[in-house]
Amino acid sequence: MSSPTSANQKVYGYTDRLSARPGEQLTLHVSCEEAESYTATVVQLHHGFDGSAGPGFQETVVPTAVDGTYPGKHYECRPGSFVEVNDPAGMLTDPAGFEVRAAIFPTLPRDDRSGTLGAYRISHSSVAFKGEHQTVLGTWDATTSTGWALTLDDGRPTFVWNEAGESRTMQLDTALTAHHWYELVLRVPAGDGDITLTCTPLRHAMDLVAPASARLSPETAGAKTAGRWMASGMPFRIGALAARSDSRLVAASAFNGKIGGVRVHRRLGNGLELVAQWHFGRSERPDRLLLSAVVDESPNRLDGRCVNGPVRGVTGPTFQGRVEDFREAPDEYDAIHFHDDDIADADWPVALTFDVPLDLASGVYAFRLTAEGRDHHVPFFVGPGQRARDVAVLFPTGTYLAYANDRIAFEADSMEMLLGHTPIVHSEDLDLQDHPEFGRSCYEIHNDGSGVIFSTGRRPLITMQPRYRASFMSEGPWGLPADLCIAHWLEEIDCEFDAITDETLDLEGYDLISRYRVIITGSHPEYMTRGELDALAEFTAAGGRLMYLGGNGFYATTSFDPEDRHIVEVRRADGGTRPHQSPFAEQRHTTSGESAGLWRNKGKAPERLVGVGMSAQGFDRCTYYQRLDDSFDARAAFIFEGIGAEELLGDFGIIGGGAAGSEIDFYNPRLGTPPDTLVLATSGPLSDTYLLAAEELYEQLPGLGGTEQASVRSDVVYASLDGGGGFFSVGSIAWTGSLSHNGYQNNIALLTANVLRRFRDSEPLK
Amino acid sequence: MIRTAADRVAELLEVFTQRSMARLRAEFTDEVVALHDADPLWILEDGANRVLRILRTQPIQGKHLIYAAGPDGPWCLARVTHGAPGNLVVHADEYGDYEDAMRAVFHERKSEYLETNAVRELPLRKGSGS
Repeated sequence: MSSPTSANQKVYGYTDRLSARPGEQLTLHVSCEEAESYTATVVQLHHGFDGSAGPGFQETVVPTAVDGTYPGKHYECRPGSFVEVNDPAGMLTDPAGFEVRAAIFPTLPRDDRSGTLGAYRISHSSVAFKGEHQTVLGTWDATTSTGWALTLDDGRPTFVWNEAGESRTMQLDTALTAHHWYELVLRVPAGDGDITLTCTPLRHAMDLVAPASARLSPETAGAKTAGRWMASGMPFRIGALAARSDSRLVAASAFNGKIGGVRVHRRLGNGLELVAQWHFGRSERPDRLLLSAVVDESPNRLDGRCVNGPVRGVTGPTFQGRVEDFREAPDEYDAIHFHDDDIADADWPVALTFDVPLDLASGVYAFRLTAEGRDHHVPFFVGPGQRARDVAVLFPTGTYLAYANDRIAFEADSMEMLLGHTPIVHSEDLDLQDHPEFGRSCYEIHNDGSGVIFSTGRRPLITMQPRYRASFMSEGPWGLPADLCIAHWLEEIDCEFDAITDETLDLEGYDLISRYRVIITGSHPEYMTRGELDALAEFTAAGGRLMYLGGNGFYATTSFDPEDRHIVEVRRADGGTRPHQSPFAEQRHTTSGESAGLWRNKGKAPERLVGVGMSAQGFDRCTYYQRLDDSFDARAAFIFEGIGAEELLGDFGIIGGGAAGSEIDFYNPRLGTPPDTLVLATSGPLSDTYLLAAEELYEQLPGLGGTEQASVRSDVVYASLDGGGGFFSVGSIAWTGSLSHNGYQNNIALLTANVLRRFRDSEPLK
Repeated sequence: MIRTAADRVAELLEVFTQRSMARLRAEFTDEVVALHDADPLWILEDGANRVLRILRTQPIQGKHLIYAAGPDGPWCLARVTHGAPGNLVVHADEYGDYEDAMRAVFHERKSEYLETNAVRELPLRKGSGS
């Protein structure tokens, strides 16, 4: 037995954003692992899946000014979220005379997480957690042992400071209990005297019993000081300390849990003078969204900013349990939930900039970085240029990010149960295991047991490698590699297309797509914003034609941070298929104000847009389609030109061996499918690992699997709409994996091309 | 020693696990093995799927994964081993088809759960609460 190829990867990178137009600039950020140099080249990606059952991995080099060899340098990627306070006058540099108050809600005060968490029963974290030191606030520099900080050390409230060059600590005896609110009060004399630290359990509207049952009581500790403070030179942070790493100050000793109600007073005579009073529920934006800015309500305006994406819009110590929207009761949301494994931006220095040439065709590209013989691709999309095309592919970058760096197969007891087979992992998965600092996907659980709701493009995205195969697929492509199957098919039929992405459609809306005749989705456009859904609905209503070549589409509420658009937010509501669930009153997106959950539960079921909606998921084997009566309707004749009446459709493919499967949608007219929608084909038999989607259930009933449940199926539908537009939907992630079968000579490729040809025709659909 | 909620949850899980394992031993028949050997990705019998579900929900530490060494295989059996490079220890035997690797996983589990009698007969703990 041996450990295989992990640690082989020598270079990693990411871009500042996933999409740019000709004439715009991208920055590339690179870190090497013990490699003295690396080469960088821009390539156009044509096809990703590299198995012999398909066309193989295909890329072409695009000569640019980027081409060259660059010195390799390692940069640390350090997770851990915090608030950094802007304190140019050094008012928080030493604590002389301070009275510091902070309410804290530790979620992992010691390294004692147990149990199984989330839908997949995650029992282990492959992201190492060292929780013996967790920072509430302060300036402490662990390298020089200078400054001061309020911390939890092995779960016990602790004050650490430097006095006359010597490190000192003062600590309470009792470790805090997880998931209870406490108030910490630190009182420091202005000169010599007594320091006291008091910890008091707080009564909380949502937790009136637990403090008593957990035998919590106030506790105080004291220590003498001569008042000879030695400052650290580090910034004041809440939720983590600062540590130097090359030229940057990264996170250290990060906190797991909520912190709120943070106030600093300075003793002035017999009274107290307010130094700072941060209100984590307060926003100064007109839309009252809680983004990275943190407001200090004191006259000193020691404002801060969130780093690495801690969770805001969470209930604070004074929450009364009656509101669910942070904007309606800011005082009750005066808290931020920090995690030691949060990452929003690896913050590596710019390695090089790339000015996207004005004549570079829209498409899928990557920086190909090579060190010691192994490539790492950093994909990006070049958006529409000045030359108009009539077809655009909407690459589902929101979904790519939601799944980015997923490592569930190594952490969850029930992953294999979900899949119906033993997960199949690859060298990239092992690289990811060796680099937990690259952060989690929105399917995972933080070290403290809470669900991950943010993802970011500013970190190496291992799952977006063009050859990547997800562990849950039966060796088929998923995500970007699956969508490259569409890109390559379009090239095969000489159809030029523009590449657009979720974040650009969300930002620009209908204006971005109004000039196209056809929009083609990716294989899995699950995570969509309201702006995207509205733009696509306006598109089809105005005569546009939408080809939905995927499954599980238009499914879950998603938001892009309006100030940091590389960050995507996906909170989870308490209904429908979901990997975890956000707590009560914390299901509101702070980056958009949207309530979390499935669009179907918010009056925007995908059936209204594309005729079908989520039915089931399964990952063992895919199947074929059989034609139905509507496929012989004259209105659908163009779709089946060249296809026999009795032909099975797609009984082949590189995703599970068939065109119908993985995550599938069905015709469900009660949720708004347009009345004249034609149901052209339905899937063949599926196994019982395909279970009816949770949102279709109101109570659990036996017989939910594919062999017993009529709604577990994938349906292919077509509709023409008033105005000449329409949609064609396949309702299956596996569809794209069948396109290339037999050198593109097959009925799935033919049928899809028939639709595209007609959809590109200006003649209104009928 | 103060018992915690985690202790109590573990005890409850243990009670269930014993029942589950007893059922596994009773239902893990040669017919189930033959069904899985015939097609590991297309098993429609309830009893066989119940056996598979029990095996597939075991704790992740030490659990099998399949490691694909190349774009067309070969595929190797591997065990999740937190702390090892890549958190995975890969076995030397190679399979030319990932479904064969799935069959091999199944047989290793059969050996572990039945033939070596690795399923413990744990007595219920009594009187250990505070």
